[in-house]
Amino acid sequence: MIADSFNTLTDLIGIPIAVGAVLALVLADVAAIRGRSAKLWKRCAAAVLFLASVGVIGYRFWYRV
Amino acid sequence: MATARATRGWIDGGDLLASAIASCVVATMWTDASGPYRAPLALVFMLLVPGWAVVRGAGASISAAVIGDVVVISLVVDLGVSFVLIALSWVWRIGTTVVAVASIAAIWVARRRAKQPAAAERRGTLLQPPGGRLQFGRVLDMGAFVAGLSVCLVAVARTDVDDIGSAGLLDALPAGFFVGTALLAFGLVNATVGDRSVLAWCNVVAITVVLHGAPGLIEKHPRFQVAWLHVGFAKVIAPDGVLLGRHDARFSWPGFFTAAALLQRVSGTESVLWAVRFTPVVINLVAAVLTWQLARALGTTHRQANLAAALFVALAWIGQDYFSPQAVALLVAMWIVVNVLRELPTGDRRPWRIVQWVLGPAPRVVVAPVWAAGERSRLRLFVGLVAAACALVVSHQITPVLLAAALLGLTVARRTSLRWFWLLVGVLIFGWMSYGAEAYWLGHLQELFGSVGDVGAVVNQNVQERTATAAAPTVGAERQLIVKTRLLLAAAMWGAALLALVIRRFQKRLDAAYVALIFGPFAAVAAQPYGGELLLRVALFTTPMCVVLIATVLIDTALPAPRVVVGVILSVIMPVFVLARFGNESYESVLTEDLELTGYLYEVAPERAVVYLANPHTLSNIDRVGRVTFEGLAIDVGVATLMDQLTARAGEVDAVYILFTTAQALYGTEVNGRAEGWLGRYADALIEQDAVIVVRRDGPNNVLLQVEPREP
Repeated sequence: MIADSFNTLTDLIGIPIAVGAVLALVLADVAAIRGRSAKLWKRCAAAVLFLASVGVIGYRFWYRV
Repeated sequence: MATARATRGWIDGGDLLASAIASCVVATMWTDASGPYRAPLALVFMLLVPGWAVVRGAGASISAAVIGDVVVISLVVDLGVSFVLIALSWVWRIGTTVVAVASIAAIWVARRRAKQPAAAERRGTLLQPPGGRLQFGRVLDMGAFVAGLSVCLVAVARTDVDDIGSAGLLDALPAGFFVGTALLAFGLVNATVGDRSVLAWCNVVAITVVLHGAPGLIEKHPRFQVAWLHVGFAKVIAPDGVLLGRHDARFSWPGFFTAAALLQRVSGTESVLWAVRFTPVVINLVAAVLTWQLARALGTTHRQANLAAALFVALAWIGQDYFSPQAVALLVAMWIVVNVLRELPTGDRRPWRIVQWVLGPAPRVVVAPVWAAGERSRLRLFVGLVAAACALVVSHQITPVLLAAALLGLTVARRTSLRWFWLLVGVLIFGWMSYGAEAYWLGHLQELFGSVGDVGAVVNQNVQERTATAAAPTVGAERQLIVKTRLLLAAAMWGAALLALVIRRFQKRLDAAYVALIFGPFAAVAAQPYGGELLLRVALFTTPMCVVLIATVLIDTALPAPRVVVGVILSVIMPVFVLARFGNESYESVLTEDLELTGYLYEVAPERAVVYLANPHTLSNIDRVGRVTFEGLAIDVGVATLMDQLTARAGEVDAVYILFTTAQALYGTEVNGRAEGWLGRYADALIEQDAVIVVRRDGPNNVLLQVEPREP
């Protein structure tokens, strides 16, 4: 029951997190094009978002199989 | 001054024409007008108009090379819009009208904004206007072009399609054809070395048309059954935008098929089969222009870039240029790489020391941007590149992986200011795989990722299995020659590129971008075998970079007689290309008898019918996709056992058919080494069984059988 709920939650939050990771990467390159480096907290937030998206997508692969 | 006026004239003409085409398409669509003009109008609209609007709106410099950007941007818009329309209840008329109106608005806003054309000099011109008096060299070029093209076309007209044998098209083409291609090759090289771009490109276009368009000119029907299958996929989407993800994995990457379905609706035709015949010519011409752009983005001269484009069309034998997602995906990926290199360079950042130590001092490559200079323009372009990557990811499985690897190479080599674009493409790939392509990987993840890191297995499937099959004693000498020729061509291209890299390294003029773009995609080999085709796809993806490098060194190196040496190389490649590219033509061409029998099958087959094939090398899924399904026949298990299985299956579905065609018979003979007439004898053995009825038999190999269900 708890596992099912968690899986459903992963289905639901996976897409926003992945979109967030994509946006974070886009913003990182926008900063690179403008010749500026992002602040430390922004870099950390982007890294967390990216790792979360990899985790969610990876977990989804695992349980859906 | 005269050049600027001519450019202004071209821009005005382009604006008016694009606006007129967009208006006509909207009018014909809403009035549902019918006529022979509607399909070409729709094709031109979808291939050119959105791209022209974007190019004009962005203030890009206009020259002949802009055709590459225009076509690729249009394709990205088509892929993206049609994909979004699937989620919006397939309101294709409204979607197309929005694109048309937005294109017209962008064009006319750009006209009001910029009274003067952007500087044509920024891009450098693909077609440098001829100047000065009529020289002997120019007369020679024109003579070679006219004579070569005429000889080729006469040879094609004299070719008998029935002469296509086990060596494919090479059996049927008369020797005169290769005299013509040799003339074109020498004309091309003479014009290239003499820096006469217009004449060089006349020859490039002619070589593309006669080499890649030969089957289209000779054969009665558009070639290659898989292209027909893709038309069938578009046909099933076109009525109401429904994807059959559970029926075929390819629907999980629907971008190309939805765009083809949109083309079918906008053109008002029953299918898009009319677009299939000369698709390879268009794809290779656009790829040649993008190869030219890539060469220029790598800082080469016009002569080197022209030769690279010619080498591309003569070496692109992989055969992925037909009406398919991978053909369009290659163009989009090339366009992304060109723009990353040219518009978003590193600036003053030096390569890492380890890179400098291995590759030597980095040569300074200064390339003027084509899109309007400035930070805002670069940011707009980056957004466009991300949009193109999204369209690519939903359209094809493997090309985005190769692109991500190439981009990673460029980042490591510090040839672009983008640091995370490769990772972004990677996240898009895995995101789409996880959510959009779920139907594809559910239940067989082991097949997908089981080979990750197992490079030996990948190479084994890609190379050793091919050579082993071809070397079987029952397989004919021609087949063995074809397989060896293909491997040899790929090895020769990579070998020549490697040699050129070494030469450049010793000259201390090696641009790290070449290394990144040639070796980067090989990282994908560690991923998975992709049905034994991954090395072929890597070969296709690396071909533009390899030919640019080879052309650069060929022109730069002080050959004793560059015209003769390069001319001979190109002339020799042409027949080898025909053998490698069209060696399978005996069973990859669509025969009239096969088409008639398959058409009859669709007439008689009810819904939920299953059709069994001896092998997949025949027309299948060309209509009623998902309702009439095709499966492979286990022909090696013995007739009695097979009939047991088939009669049981016939009780589960509405009808079971067995379809044998000449193409299947030829594939079995030439590739699997089966004896002549094997399929006809197998059909006779099945007919002797009581449970089989002959529905139609047109010849020894063209047989349609129906299996009766087993008595309960």
